Amino acid sequence: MRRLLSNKIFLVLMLTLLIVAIIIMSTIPGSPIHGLTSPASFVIDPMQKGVKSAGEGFSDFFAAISNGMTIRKENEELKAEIAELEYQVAQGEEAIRRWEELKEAFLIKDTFENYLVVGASILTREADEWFSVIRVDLGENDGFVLAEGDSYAVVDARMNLVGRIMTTDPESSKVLPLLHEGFSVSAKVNTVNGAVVKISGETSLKQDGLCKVTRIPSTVELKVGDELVTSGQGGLFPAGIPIGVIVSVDYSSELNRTAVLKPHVIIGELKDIFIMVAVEDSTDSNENE
Amino acid sequence: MKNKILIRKIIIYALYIIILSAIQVSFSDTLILFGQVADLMLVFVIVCGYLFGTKDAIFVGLITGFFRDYYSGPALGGSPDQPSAIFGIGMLLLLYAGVLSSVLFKRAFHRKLPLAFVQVMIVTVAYKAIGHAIALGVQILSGNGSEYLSLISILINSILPQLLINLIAVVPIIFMMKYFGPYKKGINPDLSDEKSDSEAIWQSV
Repeated sequence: MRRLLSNKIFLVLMLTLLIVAIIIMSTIPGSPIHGLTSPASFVIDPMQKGVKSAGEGFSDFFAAISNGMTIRKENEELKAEIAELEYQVAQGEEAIRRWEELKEAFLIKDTFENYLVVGASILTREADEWFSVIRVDLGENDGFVLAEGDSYAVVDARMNLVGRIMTTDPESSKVLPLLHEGFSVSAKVNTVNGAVVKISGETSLKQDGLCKVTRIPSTVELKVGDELVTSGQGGLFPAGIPIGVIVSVDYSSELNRTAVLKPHVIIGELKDIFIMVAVEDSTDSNENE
Repeated sequence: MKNKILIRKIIIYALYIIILSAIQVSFSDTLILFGQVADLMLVFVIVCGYLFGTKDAIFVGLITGFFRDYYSGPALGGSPDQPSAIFGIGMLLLLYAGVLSSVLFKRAFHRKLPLAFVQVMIVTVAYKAIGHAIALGVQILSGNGSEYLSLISILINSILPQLLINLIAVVPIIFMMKYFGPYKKGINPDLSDEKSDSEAIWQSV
């Protein structure tokens, strides 16, 4: 046995078989293979955070030295800006109070009222063209558990769609960005009774930061500049999350009408994201009972 | 004495794998050239395989591949409604990248340091070509048609920028492997034992 293991060809063959078995098993939903990464996340995530913060500290240190003069000048400008913003905040608070009063009076419901929005920071970005899943610092230890067959919508600070949560580990979670080939979402044109279409990531468009729009009904003429939002069909994403705008259309084939969409979100520039967790409406359930 | 060498080797490899993989996925917005991220993990595996032989390549390829899968394993499994991350593709690709670089042109290159650049070029091109072939295969199998990037686009937008950025990344990695690597003087003593033509002598600039 020892002689066999020292044979490199035999070793590589055995490892290949083992890895292929792991790959096949990991494609099965609910496979225990995904649980293998959970213990690793206790070790890898803190180490990665350490390297990341060390790298950021290092670059911040040099940036601080080189930008010292600029920072001083900016500081003066920012002080003036703070005074202006404080005034605006006071006005904003007054507006919120008025909105709450009106909402109550007219029984208005917020679009995303039944969703808890939880913030998270991006830990890791893409490793290369194909290994392009994002990892965020919110995991099962934060009470964020992903049930089998479930997922959550991920948005940016302006509530634009970023992607969806794919898996969770104790210390972190994986986000499938909307440019990824594996991503698809039902969308609709942002008008009253807007047409429902499908948006998905595609390899040939990913590098330019674009997505493909398919299943465009033959009765609908999408135009460049049309905005698409989530349709809410399928129940995973709440309706009305802005996705992006149409930049080109291709109606050359009547059976395969497609368009290209430019998402509002620029994934490369994201630092923080927000996860939308559906909360059960206790008043509704009480009423039903 | 042998245990001491082994422990040193494991610690140094572990440190490099942790740091390089974390740098690649944490600062990919900085390490980018024409849309391609410097593939520090791949370059590290190639350099280790080329300089230190197949056994080291297998070990480093597997562990680095595990990190690659953990951080950003591709979502090719499941259904469109419920995509799931595939685990193991990174391990398999980096295992073969390491083994390939440890055996390819072994006799012609004699593990000479400057020729590591050539090895990185060859394995990077092979890695990208295989990656595109897999991506196209998955696209066809999942019923999304066979429309894919043109060959010119693959060459200009994917392979050439990746080659360029990987060749830049290989300079510090070779330097570190030679002077701060897992072996003293940057030479794996086991390599001279297993070969008759004493290749270790060639491991000098």
